[in-house]
Amino acid sequence: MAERLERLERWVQEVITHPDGVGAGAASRPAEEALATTVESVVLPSATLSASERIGIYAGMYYLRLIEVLDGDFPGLKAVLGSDAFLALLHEYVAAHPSRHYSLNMLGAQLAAYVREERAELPHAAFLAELAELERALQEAFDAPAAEPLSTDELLAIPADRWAATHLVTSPSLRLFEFEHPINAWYVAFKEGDAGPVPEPVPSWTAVYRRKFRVWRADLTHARFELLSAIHDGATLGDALERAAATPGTDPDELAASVGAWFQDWAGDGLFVAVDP
Amino acid sequence: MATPNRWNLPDLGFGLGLRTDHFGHILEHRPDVDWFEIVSENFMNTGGRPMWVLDQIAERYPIVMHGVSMSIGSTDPIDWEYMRELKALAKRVDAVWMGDHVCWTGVAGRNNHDLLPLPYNEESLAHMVERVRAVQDFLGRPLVLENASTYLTFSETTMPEEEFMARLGEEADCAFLLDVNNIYVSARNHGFDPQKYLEHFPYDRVVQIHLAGHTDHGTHCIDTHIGPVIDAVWELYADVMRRTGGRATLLEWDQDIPSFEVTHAEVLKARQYRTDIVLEPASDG
Repeated sequence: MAERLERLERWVQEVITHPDGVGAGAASRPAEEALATTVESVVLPSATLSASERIGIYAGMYYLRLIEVLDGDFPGLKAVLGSDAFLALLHEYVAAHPSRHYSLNMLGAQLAAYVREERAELPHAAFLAELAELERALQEAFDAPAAEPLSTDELLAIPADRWAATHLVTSPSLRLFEFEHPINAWYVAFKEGDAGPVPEPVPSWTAVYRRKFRVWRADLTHARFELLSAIHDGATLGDALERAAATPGTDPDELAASVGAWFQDWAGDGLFVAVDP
Repeated sequence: MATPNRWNLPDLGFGLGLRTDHFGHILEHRPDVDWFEIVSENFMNTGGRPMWVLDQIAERYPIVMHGVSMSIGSTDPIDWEYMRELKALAKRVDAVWMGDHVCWTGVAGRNNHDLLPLPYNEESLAHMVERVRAVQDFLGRPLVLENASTYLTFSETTMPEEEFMARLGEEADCAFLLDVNNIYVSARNHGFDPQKYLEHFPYDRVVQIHLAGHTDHGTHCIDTHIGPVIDAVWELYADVMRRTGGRATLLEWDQDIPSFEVTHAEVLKARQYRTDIVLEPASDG
């Protein structure tokens, strides 16, 4: 075990990632626990830069690089917060939740939870958290594994007597949301350059999925959401329909009359990729 | 006459780093480029369009994998799940070779997404040798490791970088990607003589050369991969060509990325350097 190297690496990491800079990083407890020393005793000066300036190059690039990645992934959040407050939020998020994955694609995975659970004091925190969830889902759907969708004909080929006991496997890109706010409606307006004020809470249900390399957002009724969620969670079609029928305000006859068209829509959108009888 | 590397890995000619900005151009025009290098991690956690595009390109061009998150110098345990995904991608694109940097990117489970420097001393060398050997055993091929640009020197460093690299190559039996822009950047930042660096490099282990632009802040240089290659770096490249007789050469351009034609024209300048110096045409691989 390279014990001295391990201490040095922990020290460097604490110094260059401290949100208040190199001086604060070197004086931090984790850095002192790694190496009880000064920047000048670890890093040599160059002919033109001091030891602190040299390690400061890495520190300066750390937040710039990671914030740049997130900046492009959450445009709606940025529009609501304003640029300065948004960048400050990202700085604090990166400090609180440093990357633990080899891929930068994963960097924003916890931003929605961070806003909801750790930044509840923010104005409109509940809306912001849901908006972050939607924008994160767009990234996830873009990067989700590819899967060939079932055609409508393949769905229709399931024998009628097996239908209730059948499991359908949903697309790996499918993400389903039950929001407290009309998130997708606001996002549609935002994308059209007409973002309104933060809306009042009104329940909404949204699906995000990828079809032929393009990511789509679709609003759902409550009953559609319950049905699709149950299938997504692995329920048989019979159990999923029962769950949808139990949705408040759902007329069983209307559901029975509509459900065939829903499945045709979803098959057309490529939401099912396999039959698991 | 080109002197071979010890694995007889091919001279692929003149390639470009594959960037999303150029996906459309490459698919539509199928440009006459010798080969492409990918940043491995950009294709390891995605199953969408980037992977589909890479599959198309890998059918027509040789692909080399160059990663940024192996963290081979870290004191954390080796991330074998990452290695499995890396190996699977190499199989999928039939990578001619694969590698990363002589650096670490994080410790205590974190990834700082930067190529962080090591102190060049006996402890670091022994640590690197052990890990490089283990990874090579797993991948079943030599790792092609790049000299990274560095911006600081540790007081614990006891040997120059080129000596560290030479000993690492010898003791771990790994290959090298020699980034001549990084040599220039590090030489400026640390005040060493790049010619002396080149004198001592183990060229029989060099299978690839990197070219790139950088940002000169006066007091120091940053390896930004921006803009064309400066003359001083071309001179280092020419020197390496004299010493090796030619190696697979690749241009990286990652900021303010221009059109495909501009980046391609920049790397083809290398062809002229090589032809002028070696007095024989470059291999087409």
